[in-house]
Amino acid sequence: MASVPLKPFFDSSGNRIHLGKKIGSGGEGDVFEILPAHSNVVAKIYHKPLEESKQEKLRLMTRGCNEELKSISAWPTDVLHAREGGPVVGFLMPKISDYEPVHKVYGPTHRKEHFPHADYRFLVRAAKNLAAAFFVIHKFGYVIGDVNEGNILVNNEACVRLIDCDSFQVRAGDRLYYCEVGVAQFTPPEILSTKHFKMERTANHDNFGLSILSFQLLFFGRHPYSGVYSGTEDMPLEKSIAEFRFAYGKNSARKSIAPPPNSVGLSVVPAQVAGLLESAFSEAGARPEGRPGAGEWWDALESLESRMRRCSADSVHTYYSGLSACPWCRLEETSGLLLFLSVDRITKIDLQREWQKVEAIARPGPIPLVSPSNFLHRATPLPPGIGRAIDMRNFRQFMGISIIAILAVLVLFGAITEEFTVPFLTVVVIVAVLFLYPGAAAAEKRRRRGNLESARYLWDLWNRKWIAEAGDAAFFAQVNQLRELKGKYEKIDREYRAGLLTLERSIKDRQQKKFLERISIDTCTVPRVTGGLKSILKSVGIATAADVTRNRLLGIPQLDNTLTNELLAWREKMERNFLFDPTQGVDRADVQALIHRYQPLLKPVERDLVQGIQRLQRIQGDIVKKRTTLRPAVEKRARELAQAEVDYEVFSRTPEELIAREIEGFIFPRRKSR
Amino acid sequence: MIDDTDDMLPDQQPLGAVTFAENPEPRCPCLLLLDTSGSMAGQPITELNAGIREFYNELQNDSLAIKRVEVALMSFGPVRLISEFNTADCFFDPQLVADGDTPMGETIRKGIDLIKTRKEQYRANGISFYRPWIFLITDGAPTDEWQSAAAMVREGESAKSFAFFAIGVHKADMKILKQISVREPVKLQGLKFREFFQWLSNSMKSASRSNPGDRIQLSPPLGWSEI
Repeated sequence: MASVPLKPFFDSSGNRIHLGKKIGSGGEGDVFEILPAHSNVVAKIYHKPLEESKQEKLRLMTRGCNEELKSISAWPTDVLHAREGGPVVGFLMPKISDYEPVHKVYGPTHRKEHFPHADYRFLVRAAKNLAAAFFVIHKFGYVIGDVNEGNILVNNEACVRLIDCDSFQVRAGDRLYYCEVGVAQFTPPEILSTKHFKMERTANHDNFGLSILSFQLLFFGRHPYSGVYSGTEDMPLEKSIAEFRFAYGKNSARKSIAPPPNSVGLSVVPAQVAGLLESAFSEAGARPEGRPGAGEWWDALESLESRMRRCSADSVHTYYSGLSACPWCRLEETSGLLLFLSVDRITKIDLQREWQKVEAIARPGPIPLVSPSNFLHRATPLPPGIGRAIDMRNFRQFMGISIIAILAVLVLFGAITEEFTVPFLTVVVIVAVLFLYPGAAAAEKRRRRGNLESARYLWDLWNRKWIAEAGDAAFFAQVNQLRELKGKYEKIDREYRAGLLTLERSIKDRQQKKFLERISIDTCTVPRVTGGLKSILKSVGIATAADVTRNRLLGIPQLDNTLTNELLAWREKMERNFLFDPTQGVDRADVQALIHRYQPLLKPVERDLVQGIQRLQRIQGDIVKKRTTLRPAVEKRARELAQAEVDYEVFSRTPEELIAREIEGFIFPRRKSR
Repeated sequence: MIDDTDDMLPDQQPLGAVTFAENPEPRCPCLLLLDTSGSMAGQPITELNAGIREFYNELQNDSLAIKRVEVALMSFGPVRLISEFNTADCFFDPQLVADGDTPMGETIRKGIDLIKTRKEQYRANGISFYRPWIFLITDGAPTDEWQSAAAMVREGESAKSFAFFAIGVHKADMKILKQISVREPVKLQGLKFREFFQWLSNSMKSASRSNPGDRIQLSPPLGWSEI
């Protein structure tokens, strides 16, 4: 907790202002509560002394303050001094609580988290209220200047408030007090290149920011100038804005930019709104007063609001009634996005039915066997002469091996001595010739071996392809993946149902809690619980009978034992007034909170399941198709390999094998072998 | 060998696109190349791990940074991609262990490739991005070929494809770091990793609020560096 400045400050009329705890901190100053707590005013105190012109600007703003400005912004209501008559060191402004920055509304992820009930009507309403706020600021001659995603706040009723008003541009007569800050994403192209903002800003500049934010609210957080750029260089957002590359505009193709995938185009809004966007983001908008103003925006959005339709397939989908079909259903279907949280169910699919689809897909069955051994081939007859040459070669090699064997025996027994060297060498040469002489069959052998190798290579290639594409491995891998997803889905669904059950069981507790929450501490009639004590209790958050529990009362110094017990007795008395209404059932809001918690968990699983089932269908179809289309080609390779093997067989044997085979031929009747 | 890559790709791709559609905020990518060589064992690696956890914590507590800043972690010694580019809500506690040598050259080359791939994904999905930052944190000298990596850094810097920063810890070879990094390398004071990551998260937070373009605004490296 921040340190509390002890010294009081003084407002312009000299009243003492006591600061409470610090509730915010920024680059320029801190924001404090005002004591007594719970007043609707807060104070901003600057870190550093202010320049005279800035002090004067604040004085002018407080003088210009009115109810309209206060209702849409944290407008400075009075200046603050550290000592009476001293310089301005801060100011008072309306307290704005339970609001979130607008980026949490237009960004789908944060919206679903912080505004789970928001549907498209909510987004349109927020945009309309934003226009209304800009309208008021401009009506009184001010310019916001620094429009950005952080200083515009939205609450859960789509009301909009502007904060950081002390940076606004103020005009007084012919004097101008600048807004010296800005964020590029909301800065119009015509002043984007300025290094500083010591310059006059116009409503037309603000209207650029207004149009950007309206676009972001209506188009799920997309920035109008952020798209798929077809050039090769990087396209930073700033540059894209400077070059008017509106990704959704009618001139986008000429600007080499296209809307991003999974986005919707201008067709989802009425032509009137689309027209405003076109003119706001094109070159024409950069001309003085070239962009649609806050009033025009308000009118167009008001008219859109009155022309909304509810989707028949999903009640949370509301859309512009000029469309023939629900654009959100289509976007959710094609992208797998969850645009809005449903209010009444956590899923859009029926798991049972989806799983029936999986079971209904015919199993491809085991892969049909294709193998070279399926094919019987007779060896291609050898050209005349070659056969005899082979026999000769075999004979020669047989002789060679025999001689080596004899020599080996001789060497072993030491029969070779020095005088035998010359005959020995002669024998070696003869053996070498017998072995190495190519003979007439060599060329044919080479050719057949070449054939065999390429047949083997091709068979291998095609066989692998056959197994991969016509086999059922991919099919079952996908089925297993789906089974896993189904398990995940069921687990989340189970948890959700368990949550519902707990809700039902605790209906009574909850009804009672709600009942007690409606009994304000102010109605407590215990004599010792005075008005002063009640406000102390409220300041620590004990506002209703529901808050009165022993634990919460423990830490409060003003309460003694008897007082604590009296308060608890009061609560018990109130509890006795509670009547359980079993017909009321579970509170819709509680069920919705549960849905909002589980729906985002279930959605990705649901998406993967649906897409996975489609993929399984594709895989199955592919396998069946491949079994017919690939088969002839694979069989051809098998046949070719079988043929090449038989053809080469005649060369592939060593002499011993040939001899052994002859012997075998005597014993067994000749059979086909590979 | 199951050759179904043709089928796999279109099924895999939309998931990323969904993330971008759910959160179309401009991205501010930051790649950390972390030395996990043997010499980092003990206190240094413990401090580094703690620093990274705090870094993610800081980013998670900022509602804009959590949507805009994307962090990827790569450790070297040996080179491992620990976490792809992700926003801080998908934090993954790296629990780095120090063992092995210092393949700095390889990690820089792979890191630059990773940035390139991510940028292509941004572009294909129409997501604006800020200039990526690469932070190399090392306590040693490369044990592999690093000259080609240095050339890639120079090239990337001059094309403004990324900004490369080198942080030397303890006995880091600052001379080689100077040859790798175009920007002046900075020496970490003692083991002030937490202070460094605090500074980095602050810098990322303010960068993610500035304008997606090529300007780099870093606050001076106070509180953790030996300047």
